[in-house]
Amino acid sequence: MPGEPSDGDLVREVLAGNVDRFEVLVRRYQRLVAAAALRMGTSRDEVEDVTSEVFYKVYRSLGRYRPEHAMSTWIYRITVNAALDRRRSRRQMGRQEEIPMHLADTRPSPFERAGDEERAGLVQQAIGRLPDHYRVPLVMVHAEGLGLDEVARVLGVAEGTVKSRLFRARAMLKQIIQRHYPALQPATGEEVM
Amino acid sequence: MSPFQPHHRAPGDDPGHDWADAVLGPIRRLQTDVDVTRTVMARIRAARPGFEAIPLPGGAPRVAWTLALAAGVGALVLLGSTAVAMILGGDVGAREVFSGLASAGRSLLLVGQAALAIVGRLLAAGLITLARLLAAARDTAPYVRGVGTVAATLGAVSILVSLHAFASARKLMPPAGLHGGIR
Repeated sequence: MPGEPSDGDLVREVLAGNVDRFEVLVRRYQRLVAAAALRMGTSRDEVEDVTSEVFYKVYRSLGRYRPEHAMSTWIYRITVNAALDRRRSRRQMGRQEEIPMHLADTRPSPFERAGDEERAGLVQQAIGRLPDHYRVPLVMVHAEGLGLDEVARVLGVAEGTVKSRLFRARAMLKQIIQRHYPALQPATGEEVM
Repeated sequence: MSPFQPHHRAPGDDPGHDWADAVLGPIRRLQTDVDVTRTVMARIRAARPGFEAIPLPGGAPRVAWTLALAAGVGALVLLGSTAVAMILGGDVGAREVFSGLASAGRSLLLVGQAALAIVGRLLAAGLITLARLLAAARDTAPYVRGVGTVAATLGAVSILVSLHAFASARKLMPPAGLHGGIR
């Protein structure tokens, strides 16, 4: 946007000691970070905390930022790590949310009443059964809308690896949905290729 | 086989891009509106106490700087004029200071000469030793070359063995987790 300082300029100013300029970066990227954390499986009551943690990490690592790379990609990478760390620590603390019976129930009637938010919760539970290295690219491509090249850059792996992980992730998700969440099948009732 | 085996691929099982888009649609539509600006900035400032200088009101810094400079110049002028007055007036203290300075200068000269002599002798001895070492190196050059060649060969073999070991380990290695890839 014309008139607005670039990310690189802001980073330089912050590193030069003008810490207040970091606020512009926070305002610029906080929605992206919060939405990404939420889609990566962070619960709503923890999203703000994770977002805040991400920006603190970004600030501390600002000296390692290389301007030839997009700031959004770099921040996204830190967000993915923070969301995964939070998820793991939640598991370790034994606070892993159990699937509520009325949601895990495969009967259609409760699900029909569920709104989009509730449906999103079910999808989160379904994809939560995938290992991280499959779940993360799946969310990045099909929920965040990132391209394969962007995912490869964020994860630091080859595009071919992303493709094969996606391929496998979708196959596994299909099995999980068929076994545990049949109501999540797309409305047409047939596979869309 | 468990469906979670990382490298097992079953091409027919992929339900496709559009299917996944449809299933993950509710997650894609998730939005949240948070404002962490104040929290983050407060944390950053708290982590760097005293990073920012407390600004003085108005032109106070300039006035303070000017006054300090003027005071410094004044003190220097006073010191200089006092010294000149003492020298011109034939003050005993000034004479003693001058004689002391002259003695110190002479002592310094003597110490310098002695140091130069010592350094010269050390240099001469060093050069002789260096010449002997060079002669010895010339005499033993064939042996050194032989030992060097053997060492280089062993090094190359060691690198090849390491590469082979790494390649084998990578083949057997379980698939890298996400953190292996992006940390």
